[in-house]
Amino acid sequence: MPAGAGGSGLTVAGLVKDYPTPTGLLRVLDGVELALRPGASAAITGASGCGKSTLLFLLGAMEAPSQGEVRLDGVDPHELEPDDQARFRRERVGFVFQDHCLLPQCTAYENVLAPTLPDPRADDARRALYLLDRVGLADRRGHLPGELSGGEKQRVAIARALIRAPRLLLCDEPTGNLDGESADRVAGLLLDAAASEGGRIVVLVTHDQDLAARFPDRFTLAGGRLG
Amino acid sequence: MFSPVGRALRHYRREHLPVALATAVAAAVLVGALVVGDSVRGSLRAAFTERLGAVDFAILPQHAFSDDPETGFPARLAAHPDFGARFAEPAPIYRLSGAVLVPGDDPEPVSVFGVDDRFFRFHGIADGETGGVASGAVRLGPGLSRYGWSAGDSLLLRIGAPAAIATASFFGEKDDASVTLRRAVEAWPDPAPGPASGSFSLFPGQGPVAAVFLPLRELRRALDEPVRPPRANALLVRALPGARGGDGESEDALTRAVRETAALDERGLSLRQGRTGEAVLESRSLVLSDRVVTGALAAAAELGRSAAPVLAYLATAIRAGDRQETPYSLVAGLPADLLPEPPAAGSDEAVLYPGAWLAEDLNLSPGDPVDLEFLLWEDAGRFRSGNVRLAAAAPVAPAGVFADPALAPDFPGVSDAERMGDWDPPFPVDLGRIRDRDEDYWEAFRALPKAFLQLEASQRLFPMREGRATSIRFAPGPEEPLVRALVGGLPPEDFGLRPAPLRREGLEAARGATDFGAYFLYFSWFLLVAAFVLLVLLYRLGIERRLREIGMLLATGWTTRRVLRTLLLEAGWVALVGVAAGALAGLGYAWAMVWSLSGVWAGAVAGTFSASGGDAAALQLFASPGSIVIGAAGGLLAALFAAWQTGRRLVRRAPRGLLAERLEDDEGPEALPGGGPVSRRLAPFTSLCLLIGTALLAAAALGVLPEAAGFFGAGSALLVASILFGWDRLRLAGARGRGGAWRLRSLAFRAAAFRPGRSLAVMALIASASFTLVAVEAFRKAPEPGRLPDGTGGFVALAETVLGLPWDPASADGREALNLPPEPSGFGIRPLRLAGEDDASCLNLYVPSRPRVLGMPRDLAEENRFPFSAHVGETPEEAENPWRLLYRERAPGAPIPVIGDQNSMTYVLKWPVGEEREFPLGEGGAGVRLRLVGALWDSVFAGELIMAEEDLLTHLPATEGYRFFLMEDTAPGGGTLLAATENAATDRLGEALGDYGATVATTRARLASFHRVENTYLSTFQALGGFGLLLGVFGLGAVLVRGAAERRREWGLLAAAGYRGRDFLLLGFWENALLLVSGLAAGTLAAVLAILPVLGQREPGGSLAFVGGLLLAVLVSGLAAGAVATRAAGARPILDSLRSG
Repeated sequence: MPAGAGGSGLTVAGLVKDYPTPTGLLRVLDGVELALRPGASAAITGASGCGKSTLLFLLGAMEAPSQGEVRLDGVDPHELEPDDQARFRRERVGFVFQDHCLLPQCTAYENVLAPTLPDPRADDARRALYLLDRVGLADRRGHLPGELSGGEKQRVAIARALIRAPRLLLCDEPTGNLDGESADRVAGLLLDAAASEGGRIVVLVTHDQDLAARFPDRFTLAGGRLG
Repeated sequence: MFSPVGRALRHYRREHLPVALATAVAAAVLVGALVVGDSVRGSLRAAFTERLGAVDFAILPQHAFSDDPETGFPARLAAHPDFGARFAEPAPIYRLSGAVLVPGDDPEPVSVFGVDDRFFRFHGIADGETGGVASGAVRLGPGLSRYGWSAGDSLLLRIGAPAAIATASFFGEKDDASVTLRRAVEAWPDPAPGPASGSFSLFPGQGPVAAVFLPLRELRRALDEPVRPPRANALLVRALPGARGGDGESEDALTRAVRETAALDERGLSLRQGRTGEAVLESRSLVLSDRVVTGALAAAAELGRSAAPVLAYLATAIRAGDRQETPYSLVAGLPADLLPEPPAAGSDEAVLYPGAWLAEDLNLSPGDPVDLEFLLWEDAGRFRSGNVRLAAAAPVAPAGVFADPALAPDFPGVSDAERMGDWDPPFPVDLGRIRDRDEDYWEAFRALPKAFLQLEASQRLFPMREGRATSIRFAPGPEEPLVRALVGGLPPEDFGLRPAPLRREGLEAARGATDFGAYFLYFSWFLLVAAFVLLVLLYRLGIERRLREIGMLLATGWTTRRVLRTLLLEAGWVALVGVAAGALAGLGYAWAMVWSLSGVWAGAVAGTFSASGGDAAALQLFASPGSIVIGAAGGLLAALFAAWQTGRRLVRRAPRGLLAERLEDDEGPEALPGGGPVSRRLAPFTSLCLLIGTALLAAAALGVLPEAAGFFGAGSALLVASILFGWDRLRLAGARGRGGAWRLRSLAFRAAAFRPGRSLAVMALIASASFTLVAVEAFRKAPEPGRLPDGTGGFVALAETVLGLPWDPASADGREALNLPPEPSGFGIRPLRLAGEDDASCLNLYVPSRPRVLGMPRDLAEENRFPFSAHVGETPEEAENPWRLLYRERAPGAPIPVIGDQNSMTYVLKWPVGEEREFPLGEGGAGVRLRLVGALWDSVFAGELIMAEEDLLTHLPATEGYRFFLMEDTAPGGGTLLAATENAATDRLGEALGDYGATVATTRARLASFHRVENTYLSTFQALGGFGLLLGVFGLGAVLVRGAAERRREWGLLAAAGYRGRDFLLLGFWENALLLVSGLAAGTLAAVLAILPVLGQREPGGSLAFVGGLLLAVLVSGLAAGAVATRAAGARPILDSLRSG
């Protein structure tokens, strides 16, 4: 689906990523092209080591491309200064990782609020409680990660990723460590994240074909290109 | 097969390196401290042996011995077969005390040595071939170099002339017996360390050697000694190679040779023939001691010869009623069996047996009352008149013993006078009273006694401390057997004729009174603790990265014992590397400490070592293999213990948890040992500490406890309470759902609380270290401005003279006799006698084997002016004034009670109150048993033991007069500024006693010199403790780095969520600051409470500024270290962080 008019949505053009190795440059991404409208939910599959996570990190401005551009609502984060880039990620991008990366010393509630601490807002606390409720963990908000199951931890991670209502939600193998029921529930939340709060783009990277099938837009990464 | 230990050592070398470094620090501190002790001991030893030269033994008799080349004592001794086989030619010298008169300055006390070529040959100095010191010249020791005398310069030397007759005896010369010489300075022709440059001393001592050498024959001439025989008063003995001085056999052989060689002359005794054929035994000191009398009588009994002690004395007048008086007549006390018609046994009647001449002169008839007047010399340094009324017996005929001039010894200034009018006795005479008749008697009979008494009566009337007889008359008979019997019955040791093993004793003393090795271990305590804590932390941080590895080994069947052994083996290799590096570094650390002891911390060694040597001994680096091995072993043990302690905990956990890389701390702060809500468990202890602290404060305020102890104890309690409170706060910081705003710093505090064990360890270390560094200020001694400390006894100044004053300078007669200016109004002088050699205070690094002893006069003791810290008093009177313990009645042979300074007894002599000790303080080094009955608190007498004056005079070798003086301000109401009073007092003392070689100081300055040593110890402790604190703070940084490394994925997520670089810096800053500031604050606040009394009493000195600066440096460097650690942790790209799992 093409990006919306006025430059909104996510567009990727000619994205190339090379890694230096002792024997020369290794090209992982070779001219990736992608365009997603606001509200789209896309799943990217591919073989292990094909570069799926690399693409995700480039979309989230966690790594710089060797060539090409990424634009979210017309803004290329790779052209921003580091502080602006950090603000870009803080306000416009949410991440969910395979390994939830929760802070073990913080409660679920505090983990959800963690991204807001550099730039707190008045309604952060309310939104955190709302999100915990949305993921079904309102009654577990005072629990430490060590007291939650894997699925519960991943749901907290999703709530955390949504704390600032990002335009772009990037998920790297979010169900990779979960059992079927938990995975199903997490998948539902991610799909719901695209539908709720209008205009959010969800990009999920997975090797789980069943999970990918639940997403309206599906792509396969092979040979450094999306197909 | 591969070695898992070898592989792990290679693979984890980055983790092992900091552990090895921490081990190296621990080993370096241990090795360094012990090597400092070696260095001080080694330097003391080197200084002593250099100054001793070739001397192994010395014979230092009571009386000067004949140095006749054929018949003198050295010649006879050298000819003895036991001597020649083991010893080289001995060197006789004259050894005296004196003072060099320095223009514009106080006289400088010096040791004076009269030497000849034998001295130089003895020490192997080539100068011996040319005869040594030139005629009319003197050579100076290096201790006098600071006055800048060079060859050809002229100087005045004042020498205390030795007196055969004790100055404190009635017969002793009371006038100034010193001689003053002007001599030209001569350079040492071939100076080399030791005697070849005048650096010569028989006894261990610090500070530069202040000695003067002049030709032996010239010194004898200056002392007005008879030409024949020439005399010396010290004989140096050197063992031949292969029979060194430390050999017990050599000492026995020398003792045997001395015993068999020493004649009556060496004992100060002589035999002459009486008029009727008796052999008369006399002493050069004029009075025969009781021991000599007893021995001589026993010798006589052995030969079957009768012997009769005689006491001759001078009566200033013999008067019969209001009639005639006969002035200045000798009176002799004889045994009853020699007297005609002795009174009945047990009779109290005192009878005078007049000679015929006296009976006629006074027209005496038997039964007439006769008044006998005489002078006595009191211990207090003055003459006292005495008189007694006796009944005259019938005159005795001038025949037999009654006509024997040998009844009277040779009185100096009297016996050799041609006329009575030429008398120059050591006691006051009014020559105007002498009549022509008296001169006629003198011309005919000289000193023949004019009257006789019973011996016991004369001994009662004329008591003398030195003895109770002036001669012993043996019945006529062959002389040789008598001499043999006397020599055999009078042990030479009683006369100081015992070989003193100076080299052995000196090396013993060079072990040092202060164990600097142990002291530097104490000083380095926090360095050691910090190194150990860091070692444990770093090791633990490293091993926690290998949890999955350990879990895997356990899961695949390794036993816990095998896993632990492997870990220990690996840790052991790392520790060996660390220890080897640490041993080398320890030498460097020791070098730095030795350098500091010669410079900025010179006060700790009483300022007596200099970095360059110069005219002072040099503190050099000596390292014994034992110290290096012990220090290294300590470091190794610390590392192995850390590894064992950590590994043991880990291997006991379930493999599943290890494989999941779960640390027990992951459970959160509520999983602290003991479980349960921590606050409930800690609150009672915190409250208890606060209660104890409050109680101690109250006790101090009420005077139940000394103020310093109360506040220090309260501060310590507050420190413990603070640490417990901090633990509780950490736990609360880790608690969930407490509400309140969730801020960036809240996240930081939560991170600190998540590893409570680590955080608490670091915080407690910082709190304890900062508390100790500040709180020890409570023990720093500083004078209170404008006030004399209690330890001065209210005296403002003190002085010590080289030459003794026989007269009491506090009395008018004494001042007149001593030619002292009239007593200045407003000041009083209190004289004391001084015996012994070695300073017993912390200013002397050598073990004092012959400590200085002061004789406390009874009147001063009764004033009870010096505070005690402990005593053995039992009665209320003794408790009221513990000085009375010195005068407590005791059984014969019981140890002599002494009092000492608390610090000197504890740290130098290590002598508890109530215990006995023997010291070689008696005649010729004979042992004297003492009992410590009390300890003074922080007194000016730190360098001396104190005994009753009577005991000192009785039991210790003749102390010639007063040599120690205290001066007090007796002006009514005081009122003048203390400093002005001190200046005036020291000026007056110096003026009064300068000619006697006085060293004058204010009492406050003397106390300050002792305090300087203690204060330097404190400063050293603070400086090294500060390094320990810094090390602890860097350890905090290491914890932060490791913590950040553990949380890289979390930080990666936060970075992905939009955290900027400065957000991470703030996180690190807050976490670091929480632990650092809370630790410093807890420790410092508690310490300030501990030293409140001190702060109130004196102005904050440089030391407080130093400590404040140190803590500030710790805070700044700690925050900086945290920032560096945080920045380093955040340096890797975000992606790598997220991929690091």
